[in-house]
Amino acid sequence: MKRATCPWEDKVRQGPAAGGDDAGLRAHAARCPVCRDVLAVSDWMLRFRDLTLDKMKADESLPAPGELWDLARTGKVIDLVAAKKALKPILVYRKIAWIVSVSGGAALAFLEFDKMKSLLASVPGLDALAAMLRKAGAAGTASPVQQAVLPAALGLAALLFLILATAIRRADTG
Amino acid sequence: MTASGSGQTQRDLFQPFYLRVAPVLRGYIFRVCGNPALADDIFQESFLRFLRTVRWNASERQQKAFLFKIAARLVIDNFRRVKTDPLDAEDRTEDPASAAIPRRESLEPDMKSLFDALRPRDRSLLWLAYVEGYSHEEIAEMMGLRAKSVKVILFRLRASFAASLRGKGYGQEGRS
Repeated sequence: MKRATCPWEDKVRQGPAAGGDDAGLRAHAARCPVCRDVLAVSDWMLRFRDLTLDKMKADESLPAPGELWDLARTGKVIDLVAAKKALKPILVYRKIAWIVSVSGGAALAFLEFDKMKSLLASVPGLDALAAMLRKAGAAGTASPVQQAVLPAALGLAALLFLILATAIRRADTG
Repeated sequence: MTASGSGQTQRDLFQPFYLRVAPVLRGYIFRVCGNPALADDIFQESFLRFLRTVRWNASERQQKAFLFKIAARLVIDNFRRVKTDPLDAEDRTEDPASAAIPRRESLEPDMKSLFDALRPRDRSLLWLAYVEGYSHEEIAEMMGLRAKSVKVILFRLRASFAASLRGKGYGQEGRS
């Protein structure tokens, strides 16, 4: 039965590739059919490599190493993945700052509600509007226009708040 | 190229490494791809990726293996991306730029046709094993295969390729 492998075949294969030419291994290959095949393929491949390199050397020169180095360095600056990774701590900090600002504002509004109420009461016309709505509500005789004023005012206030919050957020992340 | 240091030092270390490794890498890519334009693109991209991720304190053998791994993966990726095999000789001749190469080829036509008849994966395996002398484990890492698979494929390849060489009259003479 023909032998399929040989314990020396890796040495026979890797020796010539490393530039060595071991006479002992060649002598072994002459006796061993497996290593003879390995050596035949190895010799052929190395000859093919030499011819390939000679041909390529004659056809076209290699790019300059400095050129590739500079190109790689430029690439580093615009490497989006690397840039995102580097900016991650800053983005996280911005999110924390945003959450702290919003929750702080809400806490301030809750704790200082009375002061804010009195401040709003000092706005001209607002006090009169509230009194009119209160009176109409108590009498149950509010006109359709009067009934629409409160939801409209609340909607307007909510819209203004949304616009303000979005603008702040865009300025913050952008 | 085993020291770590400033950018200038790394640049100085890179130059001799490049001059030693670049010709063989280009030869490998060119022979596996067959298409000179594609080979040039993969060659450049390999070095750019290498320079962006290389560990400067690794040994030259490790760095060279890393570079070959990048190139091998790029070749495989290109192969998978393009469903129709761009590396077959028939397809190459449709590209005027590629078609021009064989006419001014100074290589023995038999050698080229013998190598081109192999599948690209097999060309890559043969080159890495017999020209670069990498171990089965190293080749497996480069090609994204299991070491056992590499061993089996190389065993079959060696047998069939040696038979082809004998059929063409190669194999018995020494290296010229």
